[in-house]
Amino acid sequence: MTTKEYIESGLLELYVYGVLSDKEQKQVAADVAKDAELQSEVEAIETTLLELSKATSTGLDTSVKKNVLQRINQRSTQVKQKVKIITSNYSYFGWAAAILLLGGILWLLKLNQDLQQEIKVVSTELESKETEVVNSNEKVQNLEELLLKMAEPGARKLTLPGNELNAPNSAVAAFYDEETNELILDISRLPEAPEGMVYQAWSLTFEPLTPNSIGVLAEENSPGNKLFKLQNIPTSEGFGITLEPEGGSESPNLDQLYALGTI
Amino acid sequence: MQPDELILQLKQKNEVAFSQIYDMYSENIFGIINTIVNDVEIAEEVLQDVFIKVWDKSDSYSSEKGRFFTWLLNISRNAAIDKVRSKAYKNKRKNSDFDNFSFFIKDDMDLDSISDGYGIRKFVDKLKPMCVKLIDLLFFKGYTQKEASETLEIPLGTVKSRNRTCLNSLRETLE
Repeated sequence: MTTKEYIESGLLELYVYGVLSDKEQKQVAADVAKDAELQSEVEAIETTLLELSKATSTGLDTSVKKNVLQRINQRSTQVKQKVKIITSNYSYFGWAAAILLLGGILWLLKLNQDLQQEIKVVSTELESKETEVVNSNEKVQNLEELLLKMAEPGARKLTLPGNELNAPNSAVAAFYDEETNELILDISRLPEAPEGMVYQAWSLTFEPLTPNSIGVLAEENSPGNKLFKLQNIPTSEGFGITLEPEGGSESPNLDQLYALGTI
Repeated sequence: MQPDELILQLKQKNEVAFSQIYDMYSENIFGIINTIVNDVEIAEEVLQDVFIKVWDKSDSYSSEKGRFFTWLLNISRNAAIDKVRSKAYKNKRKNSDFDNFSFFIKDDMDLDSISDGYGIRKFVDKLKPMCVKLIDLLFFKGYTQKEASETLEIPLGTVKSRNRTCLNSLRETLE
């Protein structure tokens, strides 16, 4: 279709009337935009229609325009006010305050968490200290008890001299109470028992020589300071200490005799 | 010429541009509305609503869809037709013989009129009755080609070209 045919078809008039379908309106608008001749034809049609439609007006009162302007002015101030509230400084302060408050709360939460953790550590430490104190108290009590035993009138002090071969120049101090059948041994002067070995105490009667085990002198049986309290001692004429494998033996190994003394 | 710069400013909610656009088109729009509602008071009401709509919906106009005047025309005709269909209008409506635009154009002798219409009267009077009816239905009332062909009982294929011939005869006398 040539431009002339396009114009002659009458399509442009209907386009300016706005009575074509949306699709046709868009198509004609695109065609007109590309062709100056179509463009000027459209404008001529529009001019005629403006004149024709204006001629049908009975004349508008100026109060109508005033009303319209007032109404749109109200609308635009409403819109402006809305915008103003959103961008006002106060709202920035509000946001800043909210963010600071949130930061503060988070900081306090963190602080609280750290303190809780510290309390946990301290109370664990306290518990272990308490346990230590209880253990020490027990030891002190045991030692006190031993001291009292030694100081009893029935207690006799004995000295078991060190064996020439195994423990020269040493001795074991002993306190024996025949009434209560108790024996206290201090082996602090004997050499340290080697790994896997332990000292064992024996009660002895002579002619014939009869040893009876009265206790293994292992660390865990001592209240401290290598002091041992042994009970249920049978009637004895002497006491001996030998080095035996861990756990003790049925009968003494006389080659490993470390101390021996008679009552 | 289409006031493209003003339209752009209108879209940016410029009240001065809006006022100028009102001045350019309000009499045309008022004439069109009045040919549909046939009551000056109601036409003023509808015209106000139309221009409020123009302010609110100026974003929806795009030159890709057509002329700005066409966009205004469509808003105006739709608003006026909605009014005519409303209950309030039906209660108020008086019977009238004014059944097309030609009745609204003043006589040449009516020199008091603030409109420019008085010079057109004699040209419109020269138009064939069928031309007056065609222009009335298509331009003033917004009928589609199909609706116009059914109402006037003329073949659909001839609506477009007949309308052009009618409008041309008016155009030639005006130029």
